[in-house]
Amino acid sequence: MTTVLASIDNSAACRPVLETAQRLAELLHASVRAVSVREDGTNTAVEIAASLGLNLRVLDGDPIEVITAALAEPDVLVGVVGARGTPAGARPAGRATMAIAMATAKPLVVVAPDCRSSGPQVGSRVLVPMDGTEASAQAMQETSELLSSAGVDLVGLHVFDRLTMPPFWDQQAHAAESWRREFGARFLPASASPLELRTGSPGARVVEVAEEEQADLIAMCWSQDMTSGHAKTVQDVLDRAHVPVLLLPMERIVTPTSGQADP
Amino acid sequence: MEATQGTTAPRAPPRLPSIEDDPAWTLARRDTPLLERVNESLLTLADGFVGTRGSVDITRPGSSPAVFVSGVYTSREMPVLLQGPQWAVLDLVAADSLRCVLDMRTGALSTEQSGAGGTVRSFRFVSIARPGCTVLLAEGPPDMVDAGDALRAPWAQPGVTVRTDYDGGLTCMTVTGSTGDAIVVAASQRTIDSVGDPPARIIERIAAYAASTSDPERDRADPSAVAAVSATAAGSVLATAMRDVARAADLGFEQLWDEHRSLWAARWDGAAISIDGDPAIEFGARFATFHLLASVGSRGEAAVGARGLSGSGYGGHVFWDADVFMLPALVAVNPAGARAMLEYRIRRLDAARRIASNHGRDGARFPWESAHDGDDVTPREYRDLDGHIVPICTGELEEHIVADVAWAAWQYAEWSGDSDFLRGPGVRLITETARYWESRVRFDAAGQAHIDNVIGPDEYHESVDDNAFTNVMARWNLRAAADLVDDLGASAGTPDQVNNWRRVADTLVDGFDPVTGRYEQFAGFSALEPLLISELTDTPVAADLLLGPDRVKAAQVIKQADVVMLHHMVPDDVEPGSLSPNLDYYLPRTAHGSSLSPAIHASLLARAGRPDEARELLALACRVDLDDVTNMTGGGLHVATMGGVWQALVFGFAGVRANAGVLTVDPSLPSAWAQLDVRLRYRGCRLRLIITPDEIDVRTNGQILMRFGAGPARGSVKHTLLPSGGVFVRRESDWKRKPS
Repeated sequence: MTTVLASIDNSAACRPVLETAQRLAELLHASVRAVSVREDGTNTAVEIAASLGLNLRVLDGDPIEVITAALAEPDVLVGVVGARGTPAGARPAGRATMAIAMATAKPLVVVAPDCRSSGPQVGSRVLVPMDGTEASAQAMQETSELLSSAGVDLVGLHVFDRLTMPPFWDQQAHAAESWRREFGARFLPASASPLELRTGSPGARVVEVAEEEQADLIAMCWSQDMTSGHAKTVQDVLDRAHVPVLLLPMERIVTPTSGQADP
Repeated sequence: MEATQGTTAPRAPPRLPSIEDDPAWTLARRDTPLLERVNESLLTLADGFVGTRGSVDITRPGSSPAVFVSGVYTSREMPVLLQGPQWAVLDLVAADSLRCVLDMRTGALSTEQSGAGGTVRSFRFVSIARPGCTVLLAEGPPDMVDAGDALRAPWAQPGVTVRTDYDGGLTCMTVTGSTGDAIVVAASQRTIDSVGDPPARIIERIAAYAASTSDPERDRADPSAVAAVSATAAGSVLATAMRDVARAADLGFEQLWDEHRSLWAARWDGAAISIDGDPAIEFGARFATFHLLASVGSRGEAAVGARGLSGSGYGGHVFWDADVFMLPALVAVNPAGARAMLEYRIRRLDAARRIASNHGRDGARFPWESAHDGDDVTPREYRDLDGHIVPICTGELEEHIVADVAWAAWQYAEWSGDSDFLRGPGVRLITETARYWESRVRFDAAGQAHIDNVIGPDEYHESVDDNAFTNVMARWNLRAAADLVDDLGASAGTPDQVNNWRRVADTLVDGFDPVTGRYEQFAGFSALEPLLISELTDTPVAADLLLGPDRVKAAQVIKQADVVMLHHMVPDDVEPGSLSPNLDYYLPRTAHGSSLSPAIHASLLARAGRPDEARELLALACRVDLDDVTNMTGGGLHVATMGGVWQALVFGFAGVRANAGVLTVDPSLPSAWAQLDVRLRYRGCRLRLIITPDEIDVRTNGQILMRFGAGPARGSVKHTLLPSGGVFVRRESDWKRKPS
């Protein structure tokens, strides 16, 4: 049996985390393992877990080390954590959440306390931002494989930003159709919806399109490198998203496909 | 042991030809999975009638095999090129490696698929000696390759039906679109298994493609008869295809191969371009010329879509790309092909008249995008990159195509000297389009003529008034029609008409400012936000995506050559000496957001005496498909860009111009080029120009009137070149004939 690990703190924000974990477990035919590291009490966490029919396992130790280790257990397929304790909390996510996200090799779903969709909706319609690299294609592939049995509707999104504007765009309608078709052939599974195209700041556009398309999950591949200039889009999305964000660590990706068109 | 379908005379097994390993003439498939579709476009084989993408192993991820027939579309409302039966698919055991090489010298594709069990080799071509005839030869271990069905159904297309029959040992397949138009194919196949050591299997497959298309005007007159007429026509076409394939199969692979490669050799003899000192550009020019020659048929009509016969991108619709970018190359290397392209327009003149009438105009208005029946098939709206549905205005407003078609007819007449064409359909094209402009203009109180509410080649600015390109091209169209009627006499038009065309032409405003020496791109352009594209980003760039439609509309940022396109197309109809001031002004404002732009600017920079800058833009144009610069080559090749490459080399760098029976040559070579060698046809004569920085060696097989250098058209020395040719030597700004 595989497991969805839900890591919660002792705040009201743990409810959407647990609901999301339950929904994912349903989609993945897995069970939920709810854990919390003792910091400032456990009453709220225990109470909310119980209300959802879950037994909370309370652990002791450094939260980052303990949760990272729990995620590393072989049966854990995916982790679910809260982004922050309150809607006004840390951006893009709390210190512990970001540290766990950077440390774990497992897919991790980050859930904001005010997220629009949690529980039964999550995983019905998934937005996958794709930048035309091997990594983003793999994010789509992994998401597709992870949720393939659930009849999930996958929506790919590519955002042209200032540095990635296409050189030529001959006749708008035809160019958009040709670009979508070619990008789709290279990177999208056959089951995915037609690619969405946007221009502008990728992070902002991802969140906007998630709203427009009524996506209930955003899936992104990332380098787990938060040093300056890196993971900007992931940070922007975690900062603004109103739906859970599935982070797929790039190191997991081993498929030797090539990336952008080779001149 | 031999198993035969459709042939009657067993022959010795044919031998698989080999392709000379010459990197200057061959293009190999790149073994990069994401580029599968790009490979398939680049390795397309076509004879101007049938185009087959270079798909070899259709089981590979991303593979998009397709066979197209010129001018056959799926439907009327949203037409897309119809995909026909596939003739080059074999049943193969999965191979570990695949090598595939296109030989541009002979128009053939050679493949090699190797695995543990051995190697399967195949060789294919689409015969330019017999348009519509495709030939495949394969050999390999019997346990690795099987012929299977000679024809395979195309991938599913909405509203399209596929019917397969077996008749007289032939496999026949008919693919029919919703209009009743169909691609009809008959194929023969023979498999020869030898029992040697090791045993080998040889497969020879020959197919004949034919199109069964309706007569749009007849269909309009009696729509109820379309289905019955289509079915009867398809049956008749199939009988022809069966005869054709039987004849070809009787000849056999080796004879078909001989006649095909001989014809390619003859084609290159009249069209090759070589550049001493720049192998990259030379290869790009060769690749462009190869696909230009392959994309246009020489018989009947040639509907040349934006991606030729290499893909279904842009629906296979016919744009000004065909008339302005491809045809000028074809008139000089394959005049029959250019004539067939014009035949496409001539047969849609009634449709163009109807469109003009529907707009309350006289004459003929050719649509911005057309397919089989000549109606406008430009999409009406699309979902922009903000997710909004926005209207597409080009179909309604990009009217300069009317004059572009007339200009193409004039180019063909000038280069070919085909007076029958000019007296017949040519005059109809040129005068009917002039009548359109005559009815299109608005006169102001001062008696000046204007053309309001159009889109010029710079599509970033919509609904503009007095676009200089549109107005000057309309003026050219009106004057050309008047001159032609004067020449041909009363049967072509009345004196009143001629007088009125000249009056309208003379009063059409063109935005020229004698103080600056510049044309204003359209009324009000100068008042827009001054913006140099280099201040924003590098070019080429889709500036409309970068800045958004509202910002580009309000700024002096342009998509492609607009004013300066006049200097390229009608240099005698713009103010003398105005190229440089306009180029200096507009080039820094040009984003090159159209793939058509770099090559034309290369040509203009060469004309302006800036050949090294020109070379950089030409290099970009040469690599548009080879490097998949657009990330869209998978949907088909940018054949109009290829026409631009050819034009830049011949009209720009070689400085060739044809006017009133005189061919001018005024070269401007980049510093890296030691020699530019181009081959052309002018007025029935073959011509070869071997150009070095200081000499022009002219070789011809006929008599041509020529002029050398940039001197004034009137009064400069004209030389009559005879088959003995001549060498001209640069003397400061002039060229003098070298004593023989």
